[in-house]
Amino acid sequence: MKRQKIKNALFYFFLVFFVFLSISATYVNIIVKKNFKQFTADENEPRALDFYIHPSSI
Amino acid sequence: MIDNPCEWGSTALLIFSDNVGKLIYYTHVLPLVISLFLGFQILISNPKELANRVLFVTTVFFAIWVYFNLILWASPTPEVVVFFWSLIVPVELLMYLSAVYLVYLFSHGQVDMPIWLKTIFSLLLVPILLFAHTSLNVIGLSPDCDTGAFEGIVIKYMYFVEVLLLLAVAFFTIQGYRRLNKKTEKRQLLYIGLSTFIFLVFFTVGNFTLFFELGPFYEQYKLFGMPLFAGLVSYSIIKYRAFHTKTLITEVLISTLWILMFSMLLFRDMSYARPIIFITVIVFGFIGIMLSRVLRRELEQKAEIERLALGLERANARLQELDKQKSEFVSIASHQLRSPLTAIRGYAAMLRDGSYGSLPDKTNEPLDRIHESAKLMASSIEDFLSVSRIESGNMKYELADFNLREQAEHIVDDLRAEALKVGLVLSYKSDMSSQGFVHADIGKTQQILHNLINNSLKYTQKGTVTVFVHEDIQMKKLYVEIIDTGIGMSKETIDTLFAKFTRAKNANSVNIKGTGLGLFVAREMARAMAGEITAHSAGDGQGSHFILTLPLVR
Repeated sequence: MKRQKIKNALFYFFLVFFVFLSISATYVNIIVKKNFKQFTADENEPRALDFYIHPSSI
Repeated sequence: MIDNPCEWGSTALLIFSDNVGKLIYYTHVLPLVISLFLGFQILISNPKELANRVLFVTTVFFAIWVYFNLILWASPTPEVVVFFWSLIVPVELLMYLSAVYLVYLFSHGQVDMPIWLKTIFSLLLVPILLFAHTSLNVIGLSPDCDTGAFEGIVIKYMYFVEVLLLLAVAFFTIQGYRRLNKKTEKRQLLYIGLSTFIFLVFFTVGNFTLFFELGPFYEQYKLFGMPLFAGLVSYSIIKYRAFHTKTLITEVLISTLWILMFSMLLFRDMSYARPIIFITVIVFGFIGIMLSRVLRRELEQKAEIERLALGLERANARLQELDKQKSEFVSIASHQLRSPLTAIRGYAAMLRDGSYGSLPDKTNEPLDRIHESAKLMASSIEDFLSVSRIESGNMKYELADFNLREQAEHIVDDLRAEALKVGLVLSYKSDMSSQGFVHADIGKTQQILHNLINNSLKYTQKGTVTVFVHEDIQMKKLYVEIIDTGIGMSKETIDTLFAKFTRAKNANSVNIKGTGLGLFVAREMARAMAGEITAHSAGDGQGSHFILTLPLVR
């Protein structure tokens, strides 16, 4: 029973940790670095597989 | 970077903006309030239950999703839109995963999901968490303010995973329904599984309106899955105590009304009515809480009374069973003892009478004592048997009309010689205008009279025992009074005289023999024949007075 509790605790810890990492990365990339594309009216609409990579995000 | 491409005004709390239609707020805020209310209510009612915590987490993820979606509608700032659009993707998938977890718990009798299965489901999040911050998730902002952003491959992946999770909910529901044994658990699963499925179907279908580019407005109706979910969950709580919590339909009605009233504060452009609505919300909330408490207390008391009543019923049934077993035992034991006693008395009498040849004179006394002791023992056993029959309701009475006046006189004649042996005078007198017929069992009546007269003879050392028969024509009663000049009884003794195994305190001074059952049996038999026996005495040493009453026929 104790082992099960420890496993559960570890699982949720890592889950929360990776979610937090993802949020942090998104915050830095989008809010801080503003690393996203704003399409203009004369640009074609992108398809799902198109993607824009800012050099600083690599 | 264009700071405000749509040229919208600023927002309050990130979500309130004049550029957002009222319908958007209506479809978002109402489900948000309902979901948080439901989640908190269930969590507070029983926080120890895992299912309650998982439901709460699901409702929180839903609430976060709604809030983020409102930001996307209202915010004019590009980076804010892209940021929350990126994050809404993992939040949405987390909501789906916790909903699947909830259904799993109900389908497996509240047993937790194993770590390996949790890990497999969590691995579905990996592409989303890895690429949330990249353009694989949100490609970029559209110049069309209504479209908002272009969704990348990661979001398309999320839609695909959501369909799989929807199928997982259906799978767990069906599998659990077939596997669970208890009817209540099956019903709980049915409601939780169905409500979760409907909730997620609304969401998934709404997402596919985006996928097929039907426009953003149809997507908003996906949020109405939440009120349906809340309704079905509430019903399962009321009917089947799902989430191991109890709620009253009153509480659900009050909560629903309160939410609707509260939502009026947010949506309606009635600034003049806002203070009134606000006060109504507060007062209604307060009264609702009080009403709910009172009802709950009453229900708890009723449940307690029902529980006690059930306990009493069971205890009573057990006692009756034990009493029956005791009576049966006494009956069986008494029958087993009677046969050997009959043999002892018979052979003792035959030896005394010389049937086996003449015996020395000195054997007379021992044989007499054997005979008397066996006779006494037989009498005691007869008393035990009578008690057993009376208590088990097996005592048979053959009621018929007979002349009690004559019977009493015969019994006195029979016992007169025995009275003289102990130096007592047994006399009979009557004062009757009727014939003296009663409707009773003649054998039992003779037994009662023998018992009463023998008692008087036993407890009278000197003097007289008088049997007096008289009637009350108007009351239609015949009385047989046995009056003696014996040891008498105190008031305390009279009160307990007719109880089982009770003898007068002064009885042992004159007569050590007796089971204390004779008067109990006599009175029970008299009562069974619509009669009564009463005892009277002026006190110790003042004699006793027993009255047998039976219904007079003619």
